[in-house]
Amino acid sequence: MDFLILIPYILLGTLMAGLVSLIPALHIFNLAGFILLYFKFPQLLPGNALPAFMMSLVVSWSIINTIPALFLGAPDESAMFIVLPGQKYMMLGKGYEAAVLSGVGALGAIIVLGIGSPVILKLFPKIRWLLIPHMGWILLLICAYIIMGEWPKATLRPKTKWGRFIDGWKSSAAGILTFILAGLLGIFILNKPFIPIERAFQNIMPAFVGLYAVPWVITNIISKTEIPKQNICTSIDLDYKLAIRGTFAGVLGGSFAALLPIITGGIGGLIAGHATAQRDDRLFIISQGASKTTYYVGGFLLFFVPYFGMYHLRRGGMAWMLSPFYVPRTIGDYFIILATIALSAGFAFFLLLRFSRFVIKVITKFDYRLISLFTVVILFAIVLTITGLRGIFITVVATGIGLIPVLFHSRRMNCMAILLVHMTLSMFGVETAVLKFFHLI
Amino acid sequence: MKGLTHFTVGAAIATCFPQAIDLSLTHFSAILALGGIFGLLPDTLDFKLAMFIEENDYIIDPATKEFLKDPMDMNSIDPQKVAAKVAQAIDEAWDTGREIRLQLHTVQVAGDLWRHYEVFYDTKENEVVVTIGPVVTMSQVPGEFLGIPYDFKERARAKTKCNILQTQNRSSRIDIFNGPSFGYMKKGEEGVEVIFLPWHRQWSHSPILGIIFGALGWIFLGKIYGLVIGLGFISHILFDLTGFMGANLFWPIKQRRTTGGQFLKASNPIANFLVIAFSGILALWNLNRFSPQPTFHLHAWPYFGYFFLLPAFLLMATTRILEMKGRVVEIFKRERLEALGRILLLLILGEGWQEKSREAKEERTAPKRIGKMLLEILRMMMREEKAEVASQVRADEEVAESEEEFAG
Repeated sequence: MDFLILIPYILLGTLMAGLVSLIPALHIFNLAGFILLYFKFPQLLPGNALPAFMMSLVVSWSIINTIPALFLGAPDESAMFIVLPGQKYMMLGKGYEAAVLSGVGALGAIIVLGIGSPVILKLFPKIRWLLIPHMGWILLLICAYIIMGEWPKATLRPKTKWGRFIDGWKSSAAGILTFILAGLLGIFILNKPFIPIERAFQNIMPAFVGLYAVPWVITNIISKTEIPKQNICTSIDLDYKLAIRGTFAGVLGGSFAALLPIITGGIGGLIAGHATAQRDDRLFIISQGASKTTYYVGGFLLFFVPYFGMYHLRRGGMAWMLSPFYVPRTIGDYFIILATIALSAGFAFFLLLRFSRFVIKVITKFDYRLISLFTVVILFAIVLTITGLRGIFITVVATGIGLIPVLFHSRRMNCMAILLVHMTLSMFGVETAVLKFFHLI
Repeated sequence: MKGLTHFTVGAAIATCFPQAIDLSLTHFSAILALGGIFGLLPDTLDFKLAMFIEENDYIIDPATKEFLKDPMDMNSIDPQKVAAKVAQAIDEAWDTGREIRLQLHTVQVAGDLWRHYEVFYDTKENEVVVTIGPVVTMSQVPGEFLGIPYDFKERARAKTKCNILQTQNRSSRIDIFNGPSFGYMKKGEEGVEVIFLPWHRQWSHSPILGIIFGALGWIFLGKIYGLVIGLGFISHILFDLTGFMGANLFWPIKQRRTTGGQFLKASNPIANFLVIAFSGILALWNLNRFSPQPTFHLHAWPYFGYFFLLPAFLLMATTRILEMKGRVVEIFKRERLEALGRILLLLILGEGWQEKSREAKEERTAPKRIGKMLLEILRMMMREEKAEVASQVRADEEVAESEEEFAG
């Protein structure tokens, strides 16, 4: 595979994914599926350009997709933790700086992936094989951590012990309720798809939009947020120590998510966030940028590891979509993909800066509530287009659940139960009993 | 240590039992998860139970009439009245000899807007210093609100009758959700000691409670469950003892916290990262060696050497390099021949060893010199590290420990 031939396709993929990243709720897997299934794109590309093109889509999306989360408050699952510090930066007129910080984290993750590529090549497949039989208790551990780790938001004002206890447990109880309801929603929609069968692979998308994106945008509308003038800085307040620490924490969380089946980018972000709980928003934003990129790019990179002959690791939607069209055969293919990642990441970082400036211009020119309203319309329009009216129904139900943490100041990560509960039950072999209990089988 | 660190340590300990791994593989047992859950439990008990059952002698709610300049305006908080009340609580502890507890409340001015204020104990002047700040959002960002500028600051001081014994060298910042509580305890004739969060790390951080949990697990679930539960719980207490706040090791016999070993700050990112990394590597090692079909075959030394010791060394060395970049360049320029060895020592052992080593060089022969130098370095490190950290961080640490254990 001659790398020079691939460059135009890499740049094209990066640009296309960059543009798609700006549209809230639209996932890069939607675009990739569309390209592969409807446009017969594989036949149009020369030789092995398809994997490089697909990788550039993933790289670019993982870097640029923080823009809707930061500026519109409409994150996907893997970017949900960046919304709060992002909005804080925006209210200080430093939204652009937040975008740059997340980009720095993403570039840091790409560098670590590059340096660690021999480790990924040799070690990751083994670790993955070792851990697969243990996914049950690992998932249970994550569930327990989400529930146990919720900081109580008590006022401590009631005069009696019991009064204080009830007051303090309001937010924790709201968190547990969110966890249970999201878990139930996951059990229902993953076992009895509401979406038309030809679009069944989009099963979870309307729920994600409802849980993570819509509640925050609604909050923006209700709270009459006014965006202050944004400063487009030429340099940022950051030293190498912070950049390294943030990147390491992000790579730690992102690798965990990329390596293990079922674990999502949100959990990677959760680990990254807890690994950097240092009261420094810069560190946190960098770690989230790094975690997201490690999760998406690192997960997809596993597909290119030549391992056990024809048998390849397929982690994430992109690997599954690409596998019928392409099989990596040599170590050379792996290194070509690494070069693709480096080139695409550089270009995507440049696009991140450009697109951030553009979005900042838009949100400061128009009423932010109007923009938030427009965002809600886009979110529902995309859900309707991809999944139909039933998808809208799921989004509305999920929005109800997603609003609980917003109203009671509990943690949004409880929404992750949508996948975690279903998978944990399945791993412990009790899923059938639960499904029978709900008359789902 | 942070919650995530305790959690991973607990889970890693559970994997040390081959029977536990076997149970999880063959019987869908959750035993390995129990290690992590009980590793985190002491803090969960504190932050979800103990903090609510605490009774206070003094409650300061700055937005109430008692603390306002204008009783009709809740934005006119008088810092002098707040400071005087805190000083009064300290004086009462001094006069009566019993522990006095005080709770500081937050001031919510609107849906997601809060008034910021700070309490600081000036141990030199024996004064309580209260600073009323601006209105902040839920993200703790200050802003203009009802004529209060974003940089508003009004400070007042109140003298106490006695010495304030407190190593905290920074203010307690109070704004969103809930405020901290303090215990004031007379310490002989020296003065009154300030105990930050007196409900934290008390009964919940007792090894005896860990033994009780372990015994219950043994009785109801089996021996191996009991061991995993008990050791997971006790590991939390042991790791907390590396910090400053310590734990109540002798509850229910004693009611006071034992001071920690003060080796490192609980929020130290490198220490937390290394403990988490070691726990993960240990868990993988155990899962592999107790697996019916091991995925890799490596002896312990190369495994832990390549995957933990070497990366840990590189991480610490890199951190040192970044911290002492200028110093390393200076040494290299001055003493080229010995530069590499010296830089390595500098990276591993830190600054300050060099001057001592130069004196030794003049006096002694090479082998003696090196031995002496190493000893001196070791002593100096312990002295400097301890003195520096203890003077600056102790109470700072106490605040950080409690806040960050569950941060996220």
